[in-house]
Amino acid sequence: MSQSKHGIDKDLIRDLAALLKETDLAEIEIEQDDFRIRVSRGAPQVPATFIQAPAPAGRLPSETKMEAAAALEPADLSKHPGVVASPMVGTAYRAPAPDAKPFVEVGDTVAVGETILIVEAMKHMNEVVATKAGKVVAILVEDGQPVEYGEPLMIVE
Amino acid sequence: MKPTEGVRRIILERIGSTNDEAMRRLLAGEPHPFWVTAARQESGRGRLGSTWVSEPGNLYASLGLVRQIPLPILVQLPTVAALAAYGAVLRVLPDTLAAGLAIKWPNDLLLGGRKVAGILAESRSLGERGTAIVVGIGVNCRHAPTETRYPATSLAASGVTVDPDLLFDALAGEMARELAAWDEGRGFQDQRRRWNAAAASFGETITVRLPRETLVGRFMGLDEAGYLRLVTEGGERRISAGDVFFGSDQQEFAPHG
Repeated sequence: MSQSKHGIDKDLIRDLAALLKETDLAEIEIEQDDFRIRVSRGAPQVPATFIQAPAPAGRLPSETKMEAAAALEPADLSKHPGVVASPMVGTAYRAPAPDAKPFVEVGDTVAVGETILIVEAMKHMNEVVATKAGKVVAILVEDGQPVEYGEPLMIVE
Repeated sequence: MKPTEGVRRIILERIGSTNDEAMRRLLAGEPHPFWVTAARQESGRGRLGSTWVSEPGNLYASLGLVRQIPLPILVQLPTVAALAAYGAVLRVLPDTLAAGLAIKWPNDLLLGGRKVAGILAESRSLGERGTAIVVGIGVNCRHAPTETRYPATSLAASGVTVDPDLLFDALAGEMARELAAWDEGRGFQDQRRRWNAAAASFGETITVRLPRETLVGRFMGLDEAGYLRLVTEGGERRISAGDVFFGSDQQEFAPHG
């Protein structure tokens, strides 16, 4: 399952990133149903952005930002040396509570042992910690998103 | 030999959170397993930043241990703990109330349809040393919080007077037995069947509020790995996190009650 209604279609991002390379375009943007995705070339470490399109009139737009590793090789991210993979099937959280500040953002520097995400299953909250120091270059999950075992969650370089 | 032999117990009058204290001690390299109990918690926590009201007279206990087993197996621990809490509370209930005790997915205890106990497990990798895991168990002996996400009750409200210390002894004994039965996952299938037998509304319609969607379906208990099996109109779903409500109508609650 590479795409869910609120999730992100990683294959689509990879395809777009590949297309970007192939065509030498600076930016590709696609709008579909209730989401819009934009992949741009930019500087080497500028991530693509994923913006949820505004909700239909009458509701507040719930903007969700999603940073994807479009500036990285579009190949399988799970083989990236800086990948942080999900330790179990669960639900990923970027913050300790729904209203709290995320543990990390793209561009942040993390130290070894620093908590960068939480993955939950059956009210077992596993703190995912950085196993090496570096810079967060991509965050591949949204808050509250279901994740599979071994699924790439973040890239730290 | 008592089943709890070799398990330390740290008894505190008050602490911010027994889970935090247990994790702090594990990270400091203290010998484990151990239990941390407190007469009251000043900042007791539930899932995802919600608070666990922690008045004196209730049981607040956290088990701390380190295990070198993969997380997909370690994730079964709070389910194992739910069976232990179920067994411990069953021991103090009169026969007339025993049928009213049930487990609500993933590991809450209900008495007469209201929440009487809750569990929150937290873990963190120690690298080559394995994984530090804390399983916190709260039982409402005397006091039941109001304005909670799910209606709460206490043992006292059902006319059962229990000293939290005595309930702790029962819990520690049950937990030691369940941990031995679990055998680092090898005994989980039998525990899963016992969990399913004790679960509220098995086979009935439930509503599960996930972080990003709400699902209605038939509750088919735990799958072999311990996840919730929900048969929806769109097929079977395997659920790792969410709030369960019985029936197809979702009650509205304050978001962080």
